[in-house]
Amino acid sequence: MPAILRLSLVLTTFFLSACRPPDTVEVVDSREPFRDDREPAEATEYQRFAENTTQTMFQWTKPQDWRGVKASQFREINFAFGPSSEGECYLTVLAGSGSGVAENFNRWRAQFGMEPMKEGEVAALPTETFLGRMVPALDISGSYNPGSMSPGGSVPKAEWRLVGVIMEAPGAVITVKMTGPKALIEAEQENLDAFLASVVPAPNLR
Amino acid sequence: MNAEPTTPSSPSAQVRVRGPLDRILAVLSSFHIACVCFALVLILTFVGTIYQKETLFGLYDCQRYYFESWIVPRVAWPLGIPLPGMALVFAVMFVNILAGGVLRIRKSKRTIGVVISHLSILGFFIAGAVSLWTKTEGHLQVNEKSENSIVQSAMDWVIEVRELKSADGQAPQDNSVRFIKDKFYRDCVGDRTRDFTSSVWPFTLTVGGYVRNAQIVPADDPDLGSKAPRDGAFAILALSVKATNEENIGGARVEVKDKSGNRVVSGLSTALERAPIVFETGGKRFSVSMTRERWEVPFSVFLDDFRAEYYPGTRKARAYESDIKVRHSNGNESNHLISMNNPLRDSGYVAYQTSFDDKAPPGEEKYSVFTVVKNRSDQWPLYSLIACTLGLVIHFVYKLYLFLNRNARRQEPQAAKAL
Repeated sequence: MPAILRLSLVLTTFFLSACRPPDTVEVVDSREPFRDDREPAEATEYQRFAENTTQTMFQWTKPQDWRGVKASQFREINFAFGPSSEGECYLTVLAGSGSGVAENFNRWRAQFGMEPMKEGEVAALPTETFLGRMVPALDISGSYNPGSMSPGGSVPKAEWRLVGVIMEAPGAVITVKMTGPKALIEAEQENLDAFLASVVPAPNLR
Repeated sequence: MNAEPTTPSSPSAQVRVRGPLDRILAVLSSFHIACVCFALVLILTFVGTIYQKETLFGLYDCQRYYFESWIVPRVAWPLGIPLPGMALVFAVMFVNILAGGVLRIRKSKRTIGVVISHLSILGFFIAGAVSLWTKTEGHLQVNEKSENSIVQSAMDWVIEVRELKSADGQAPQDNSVRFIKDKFYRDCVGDRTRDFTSSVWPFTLTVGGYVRNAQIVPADDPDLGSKAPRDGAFAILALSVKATNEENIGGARVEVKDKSGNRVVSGLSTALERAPIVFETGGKRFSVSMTRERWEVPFSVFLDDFRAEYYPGTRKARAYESDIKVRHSNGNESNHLISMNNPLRDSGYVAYQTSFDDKAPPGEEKYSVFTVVKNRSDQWPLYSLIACTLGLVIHFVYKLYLFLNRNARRQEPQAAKAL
């Protein structure tokens, strides 16, 4: 065998044998902490992978039958449920006054073609416990038209139901809105209650 | 270039094969090896350039696969043909030139220029090797009217492990941040895992399910495959790998086991996570996170002002520059202007103006980006080039002298005859 070929074979064998790191590796690389490095805070799984600031502010438990859905601008914590995911539930934080409780309830009612509530009617609404406070809850049914801005467009949905709560917090309005076919919402009412009860403020990441 | 005896007039012609060492040197300095190496350099350069455009590899991968590797990985074999990497080819060329152009060549005043030139070419190889193995390069992004000293790699991900204050507020015993470079877990895809240990850790860290371009999605996302790495309520969705490596976001599944092998914590980690995994074991608290490789330079850069000039009617920058203050920990402060061909050189680092907030309207750019490089062999190619030039000048001047001398000797008898 020519010498050049022998040399090539030896070199190839040597370098191929050194290609893959072993199954256990001792970590030797290190650096000093940066000058202004602060220790990280403990965070929940949801906070670590939060898609938006709202998801860093709360902890919650997702009902088992529900499916997490990618957040969007006004669906900051977003779920779907039902056989073909036709049921929706999402939490939204509207910064500032967020138009207030009555205006938001009336916007939801308008999606069902209902008149705005009269003065005093909001105060008379049933309440749910949410974030440690009793907050007004709306439960309406009918033909639902979420508007052209919503996923699914402005096609009206017959026999639909909406259950939701709105809480006025300092500097923000927090809403939780669940919609879907009437029968499905009926079956998911307990899951909604469990979800509302599970939402608590999360430790500050800063 | 090499000292294979060729013609009787060759400077090395008088070299004779004597013992085993000479035989080995004769093989190592062979012209055949040199020719094969040159051919491979041509092929690798051609393939490495063409594949940047015609495949999904992109610049970063082509550089890694063809120009920085010992053996071209199988995924990058052109037409299924295995190839050595440029590092191996250059290593062989180095030995070839060293054996032929420096060791075997006859040393005399006739060959001094040639030896200098060969040595200087070895200088190029050494500069390349030092750069390949020790150069650090990253981006320093500075907002206007603020300062930064942390450089972030645009390419490489690391898993950082840091000891934190204990639950009762005691300072960590190990102040260093330990990190695992992605070359150690890049192959941990699918079911393959690798354990990482350290003498200062009371645990073993297992990394698996590495995904080069990862997106964290809920574990019940319908787009997930059955083998997608999952943990708790989340999973890693593998996105298609982008040709521009800076756009890929690495992700992996990590698991911490104590010394007895009991699971302490597990979780997914990606470079876009908002907070690390924090856990306690062996009476100590630690954090684990995936992040871009980062390091701190011994000075901070304060961005006073950023200016960009655009081609008329376009958003394409014609030139851009930054007025900066360089602040050292001893309180020294100096003003500099960094522009496209005018870098900052400080403490062994070179900072080039490379990018800026190009999404903002002209005049409202909010940040400037500098590429910060530390390369010990930065100037070595220049020195090698000067030495090479000097060697060739010596050689050619000597040859000219011999030529003129010979001509003069030939003309002397003719002149005598004429007299």
